[in-house]
Amino acid sequence: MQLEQLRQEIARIERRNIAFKASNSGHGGLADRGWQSGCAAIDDVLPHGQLAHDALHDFSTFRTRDTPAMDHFVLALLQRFLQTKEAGEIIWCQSHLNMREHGHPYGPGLKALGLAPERLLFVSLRKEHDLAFAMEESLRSGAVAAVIGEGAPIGFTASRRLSIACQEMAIPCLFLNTTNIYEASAAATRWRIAPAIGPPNAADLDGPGMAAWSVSLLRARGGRAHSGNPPWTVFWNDATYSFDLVSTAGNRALADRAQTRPTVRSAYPAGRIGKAV
Amino acid sequence: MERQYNNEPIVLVHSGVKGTRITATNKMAEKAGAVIGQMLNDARAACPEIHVEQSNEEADLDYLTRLGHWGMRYSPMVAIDGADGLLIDIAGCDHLFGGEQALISDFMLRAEAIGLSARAGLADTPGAAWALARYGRGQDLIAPPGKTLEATIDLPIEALRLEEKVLLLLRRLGLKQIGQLRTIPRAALERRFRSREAASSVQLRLDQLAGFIREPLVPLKEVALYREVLSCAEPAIEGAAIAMALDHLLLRLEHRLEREGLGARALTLTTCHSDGGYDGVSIVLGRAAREPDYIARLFGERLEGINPGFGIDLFILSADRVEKMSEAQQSLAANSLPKDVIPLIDRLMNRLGAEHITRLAPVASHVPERAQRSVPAMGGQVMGEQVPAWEIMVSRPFRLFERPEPIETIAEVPDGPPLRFVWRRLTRKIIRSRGPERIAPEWWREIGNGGQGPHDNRQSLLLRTNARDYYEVEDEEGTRYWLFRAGLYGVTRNGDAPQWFIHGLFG
Repeated sequence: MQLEQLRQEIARIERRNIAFKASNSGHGGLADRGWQSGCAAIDDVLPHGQLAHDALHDFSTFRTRDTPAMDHFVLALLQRFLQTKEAGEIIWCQSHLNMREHGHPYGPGLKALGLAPERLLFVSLRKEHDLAFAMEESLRSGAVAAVIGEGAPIGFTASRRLSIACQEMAIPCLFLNTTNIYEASAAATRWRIAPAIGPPNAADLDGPGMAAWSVSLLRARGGRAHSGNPPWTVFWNDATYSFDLVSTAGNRALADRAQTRPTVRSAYPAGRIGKAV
Repeated sequence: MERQYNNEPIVLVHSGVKGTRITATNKMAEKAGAVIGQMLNDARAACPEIHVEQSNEEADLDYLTRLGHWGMRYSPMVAIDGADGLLIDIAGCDHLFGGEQALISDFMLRAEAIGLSARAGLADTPGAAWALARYGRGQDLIAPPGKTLEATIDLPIEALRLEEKVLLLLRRLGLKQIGQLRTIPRAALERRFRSREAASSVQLRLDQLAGFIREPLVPLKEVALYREVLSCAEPAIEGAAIAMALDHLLLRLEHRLEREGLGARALTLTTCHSDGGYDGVSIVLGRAAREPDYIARLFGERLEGINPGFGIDLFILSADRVEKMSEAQQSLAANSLPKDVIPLIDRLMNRLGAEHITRLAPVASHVPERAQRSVPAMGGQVMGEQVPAWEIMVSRPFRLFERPEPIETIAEVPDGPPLRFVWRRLTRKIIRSRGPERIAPEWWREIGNGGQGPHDNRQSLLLRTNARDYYEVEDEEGTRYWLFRAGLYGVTRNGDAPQWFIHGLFG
């Protein structure tokens, strides 16, 4: 009980200015300043059971070949966010090089994910160097619904600046690290994404299954996540537009894979994650 | 460089087919007997200690252009004339300098200060000003209004800007001065020439000189109607001074634009330097605006990029593009009720380049790479134009490679995707797949530019002319790709083996 009180105290100190703003602007408490992934297991360990609206969230992969999976996961998460926020543009910043390397965002496909392509504004940068500038400028304008940045890590100081901008303007910022360089970051949550085999598609049993990921939440400031947590395997439920846990019981492909091949997480010692953080 | 030679003879030369000729001289070289157009060897014989440098016409023109921008301090209408002249239309500008005489004196002083030996002529027509500047004598280089004919009557016929062979004929006829030409009836003069063009060129030049035929100038820079000028008593060097000057000019421009209900869409700040240089910064706006604070913010850090040289003595702010501004826009900006994304787009465009801020627009095409295009975030749509809606399509990736990347396939099967493929040096094993979805090329485009594209190679030909079979595949890790085979299994339309490509990613 005492521990719980201490936790609340810390959370209160950490988010004092936001609480102040929230009470000023007539919103409710902290509780409705975020959005849920829809997967109870993940939401449970997040502070207030949700992803904060006004924070930087950082996503990375172990291997650059997992970048498409991370992209997809973040877009799905963004889709969840946009269910709660119907107006405003989304700014997507990345370098030219990144676009060529990972493909140009494609309208028909985004539409199929449930994202409205007309709400997206793309900033393609000549220099990777301008990434933090473009993201911060977008946040500071206060005129957008969300900001996505994609590229090499921007460094701790820049991430701190972005976090502050997020807090002050109450706009979420999602950063996708497309390299396998892992740097310190001031982000409120840090995720590590790897692809996973999803349950089969009921309409087409031989075709590709539901989109699924192996998700590690390395850090959630104010929450109960830590790098030692085993990753969740979640899939995207097309019908409800939410994440759900994959159960290995009904998923032969996943069960097979678990036996024949070590999982991504166990392929790398947990210690390395801890050190890098 | 020039200074070193100030007291020694120096000539610039151009090496042609018929030997090396002199193209420019300084005063000392002229005294030593060097003449423009002379062979270098002849000049060397007369004056052995002469210095020789290669002439560089490109650099000359470059410098002349810079000088032209500098000359915009006198009037926005400046034109480059030949290799060594500037034509400035000062109509309506001279009173700012205290009259024509004062303007010319100011010009000569400044030209001397930057180390140029200049001559200036001023007249009602460009032709007469040209003639006076080059062939006028003494102090009579300004032709008073309406007295063009009188002022040019004594000038030699060389002042008419005629071809050398025409001049030669006129000289043979004993005609040496413009006044003499005018006394001869036109028809009589024309009969002397073998070609009609030569005859009419004399008449044309005479008429242009007199102003019977208008001679339009081609301005170096399009003349902006809305332009504000600020000159400094002391040359400004610091960034703070530039920002202050900009604020001042923006206020004045705002007043003018406000009176006429206009807003600017593009602005340029030009700085003229005391050493004859110039610099400038241009910005574009997503929506017409005239609020000084807002525009100053867009100039922002870009002002630091201005190199003031030895000091800026004149600032010119011009609204290069203006638009009608409705009052509704004005009040919207004042209240700022719904926070608007346009100021952000403006900021990003001016810092990163307008072409880098884009949106996606659907295109009615079934070829995947043509089904969307990037349009500028601002000003792309025409008012009233129907914006096509995005169609909902199944099996489309959310990231698409603009150019499909070839992949190496292992273990192909006749009517399905390969069992394994290599993309970016990694082998991926396919465990589940869906397809094929056959997409035929757009035959009407194919006829349009069949095989004639500039970057046409075998691969793009293969992509353009063959039907594609698309497969959505998933590898053993769960990553999903969009693959296709260009050409049917075993055959293609141009006889090559079919080739596999990756076109997009599903996650």
